[in-house]
Amino acid sequence: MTKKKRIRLIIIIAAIVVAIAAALVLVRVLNKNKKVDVFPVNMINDPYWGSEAQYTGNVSAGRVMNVKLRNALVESVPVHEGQHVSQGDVLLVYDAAEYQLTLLADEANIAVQEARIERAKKMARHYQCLRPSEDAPKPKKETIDHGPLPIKKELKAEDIKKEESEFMITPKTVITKEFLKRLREKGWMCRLLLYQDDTNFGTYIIDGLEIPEWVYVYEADDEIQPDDPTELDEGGEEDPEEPEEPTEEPTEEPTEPPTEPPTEEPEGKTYHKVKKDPIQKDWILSDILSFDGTQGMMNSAETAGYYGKVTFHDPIPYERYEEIISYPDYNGDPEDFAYSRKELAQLAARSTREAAEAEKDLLLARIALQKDRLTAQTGEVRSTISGVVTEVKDPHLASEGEVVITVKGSENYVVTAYVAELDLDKVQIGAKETIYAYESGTSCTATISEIEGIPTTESWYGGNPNNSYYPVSAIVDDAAAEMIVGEYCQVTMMQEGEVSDAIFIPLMFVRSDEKGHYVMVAEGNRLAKRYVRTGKNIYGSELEIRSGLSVDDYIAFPYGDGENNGAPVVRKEDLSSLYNW
Amino acid sequence: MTEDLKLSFKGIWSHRLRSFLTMLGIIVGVAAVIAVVSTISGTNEQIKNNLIGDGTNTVTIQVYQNGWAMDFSYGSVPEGIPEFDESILEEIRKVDHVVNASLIHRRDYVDLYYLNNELSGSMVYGIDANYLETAGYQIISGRGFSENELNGQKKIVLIDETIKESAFDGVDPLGKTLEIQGEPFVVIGIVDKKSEFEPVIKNVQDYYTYMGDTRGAVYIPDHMWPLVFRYDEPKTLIVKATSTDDMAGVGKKSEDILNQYLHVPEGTENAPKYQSNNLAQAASELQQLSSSTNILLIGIASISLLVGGIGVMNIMLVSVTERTREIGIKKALGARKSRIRRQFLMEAVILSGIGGILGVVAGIILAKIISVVAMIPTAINVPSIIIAVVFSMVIGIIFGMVPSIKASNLNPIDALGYE
Repeated sequence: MTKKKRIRLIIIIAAIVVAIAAALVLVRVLNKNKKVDVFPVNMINDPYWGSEAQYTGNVSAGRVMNVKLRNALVESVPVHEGQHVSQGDVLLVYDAAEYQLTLLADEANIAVQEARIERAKKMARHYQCLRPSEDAPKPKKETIDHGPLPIKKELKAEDIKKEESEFMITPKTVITKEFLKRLREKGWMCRLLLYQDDTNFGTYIIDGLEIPEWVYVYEADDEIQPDDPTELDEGGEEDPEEPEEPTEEPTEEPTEPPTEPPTEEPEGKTYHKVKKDPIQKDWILSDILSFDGTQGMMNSAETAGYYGKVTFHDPIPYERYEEIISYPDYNGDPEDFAYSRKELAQLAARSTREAAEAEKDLLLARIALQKDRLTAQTGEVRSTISGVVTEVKDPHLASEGEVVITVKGSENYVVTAYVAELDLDKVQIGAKETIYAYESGTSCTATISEIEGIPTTESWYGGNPNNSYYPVSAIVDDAAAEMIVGEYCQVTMMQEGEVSDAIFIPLMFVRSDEKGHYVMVAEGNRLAKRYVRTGKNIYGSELEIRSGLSVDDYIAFPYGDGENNGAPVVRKEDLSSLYNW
Repeated sequence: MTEDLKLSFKGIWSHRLRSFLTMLGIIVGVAAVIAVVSTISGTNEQIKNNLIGDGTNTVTIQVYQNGWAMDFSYGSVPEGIPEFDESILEEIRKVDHVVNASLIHRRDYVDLYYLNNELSGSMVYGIDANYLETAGYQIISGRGFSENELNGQKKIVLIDETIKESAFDGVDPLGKTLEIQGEPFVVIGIVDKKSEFEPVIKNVQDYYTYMGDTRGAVYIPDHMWPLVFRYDEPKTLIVKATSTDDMAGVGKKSEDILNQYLHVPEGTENAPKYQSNNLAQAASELQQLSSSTNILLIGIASISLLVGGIGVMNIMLVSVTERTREIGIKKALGARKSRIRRQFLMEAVILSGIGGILGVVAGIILAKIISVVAMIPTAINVPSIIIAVVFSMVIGIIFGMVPSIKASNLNPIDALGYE
């Protein structure tokens, strides 16, 4: 190799190496700049598991007292509109004996609430025990070989065994003359299903009755075989053993002789019209039929001597191999694998919430029973506040549950919450709390006025069973707030310097390294790694983010493309691209 | 033979460009096969690593019924399952390739509180002295259970990192009290996995397939189990195998040993029995899901190798035609048919052999490029390289056969007169 050639070779190799390296670098850069989907935190946040400083309470007293009519006979209404009443004054008197019936209704209500709790807890347990769809057994694929088609290569006389037969053949199948003659002899019929390359493209039906015993043909002198028993010279003697005319079908002349028989050819040959058995040779249908892969065709010019009826149809390929997908037997819960791990956690949480609400209703039902027991002793309904009677309706005209007496007092509403012993250090007299009343829908703030020193004897769902719960009363700040005495509320303690903004997001959005837990968050139009302070792990599915992330942020699934720190982001407003819905 | 080799190299070198282009077919074919096989091997390796990559090589053998692991959190304990003790572990440790074994209890859903914090969905394990070592855990803070504590009645507990972060929020958990089913247990240590392995995850589906259990767990001495739960719950066996490849065998033998002690009446339908949870088998099942696609890909790559072989035959036929006079002279000088045949066959084999070797190099480079560009893991598969080179030489023999026979059968007179 000359020096020049050597240099040229080195340059080419170097160019190839550089090109490959450049391509790899380019790919890395492109990957780095691949856009990453980010999802709104407020959409994936499940705040239910939220703040520890949140409690349940009820409106224990207030400015307004509404007396609702119970299902009992009212004996008297000792107050009138505009009358000043003090706490403890009698507002309404029922028939004490009849009022006993309301106790039965209260007890029934308690039973209903207990059943609700039991059912909700059972459902929560049920969802916790269900197997998630991610653990579903994988289906098995199986291929069944139905075997080759029983296609005949040759049809022999012995194949005909009954009046109607059916065979699978190809156009190349040899249909022997013995087969055809036996068909004719018996007057039987057979259906030949036509296949090519395992594809059925038509049917050829041969009816033995339609194959004639003989037909006229013209043959030259020298072609006539004198010893052929089937041949008859038109003018010659007939074979005495042969019938004059065919006795079987067809009774008429089976085949018309050619219109202008060439009785004499220029060469001097003499032709004779002779009767001849049309089955002189084996049939091979490919001589008259063809199949081009899409449909069958028949060459009509060459059908002479083939007695049968052909029908073509759209090709039907034979599916020899069948793929079957089977699922392993499973005798567990029918609802197993119906939900994802995340859905199960949500369903369990919903049932837990339902149980908690039923617990609250149960508490209220028990309070109602206690009140009704007191009322039932004397039949008297007494005022819980001091104030003015603003409305009195005729109880005999009112229906059950309707407010018949309204007393308006001068005090603001009081809300009592039940705080666990371990959280008592978080509440103090004079501190503020926010209230959300479920029934009236009122949101307001309140100031803690009293922390009782004796815990409630009521069992309270949703916390450590070893805890005691203490009633903490707070006066609603807004004198104009509209609430209903007895309705229950959500009470959140407001602690100075700490805003309860716990976020619960699926665990899969949070990764860890040696520095701690982090999320990949959109900062401007780029993805950035941000470390967060985490808290509770809920069922291995949700993770509390205590700080470092807000509900206004957008975060990425931090694996795969979402690992790329600095990658451009695409803000999504739903989670479909995440789960490939 | 040496002379044949020299002549073959000379023949190839004298038509360098043509020979290279002929080889290119083989190069592309071999490179395609190696790249495809490397990609498939890489993906399969990754699936296996994702499932059993933490290297603990532990197999869990627990009670199954109707094909599913029994959960004793709810429902009764089936009859006929004995209380296993240390003696069964001795028997298990005698099985080949068993490093260690441990008997544990486990519950998935329990009332677990630290103060007022509920640790929803956390798991509780009742463990023996061997568990932490067998399952690949280590104490990272505090201490483990002493022998006396394991056999005594002390309410002490180990927690993992998840529980620490979930419940304690920066407070040192050591010495604090956890309430398990209403019973107070004092935290004496924090455990964590020895391996920091994390599976390769590309999407949400991968996350749920490979991430495993992400719930927190606490560990109490197994001796204390009946105090909190029930005394007759069947135990679960954890066995550590010497290597990943031994996991299946160890699991099978261990389940056989446990099952021979069951007192389940014969013929009992859906009788509970011990069964191993073989991660290696699970990995194999996941790999099987893509096997048909893989076979198709290898088939397509092999077709290009076949096309390369046809190219070799074509060029060798041209070569025979070009060297007809040379063949004639050799024959006229007394060269035997076998000699002529061998010369051309040798040339075809060398052509395809060199193509095969270059194809291997190209295939390895291609696999690396695929790995970078498509972010697909690749693993160079040595047997596939050997098979590809041998296959390319076999192709040289097969496709060189026709031209060499043609050359050897030439009539010397016709050959000498060939223009």
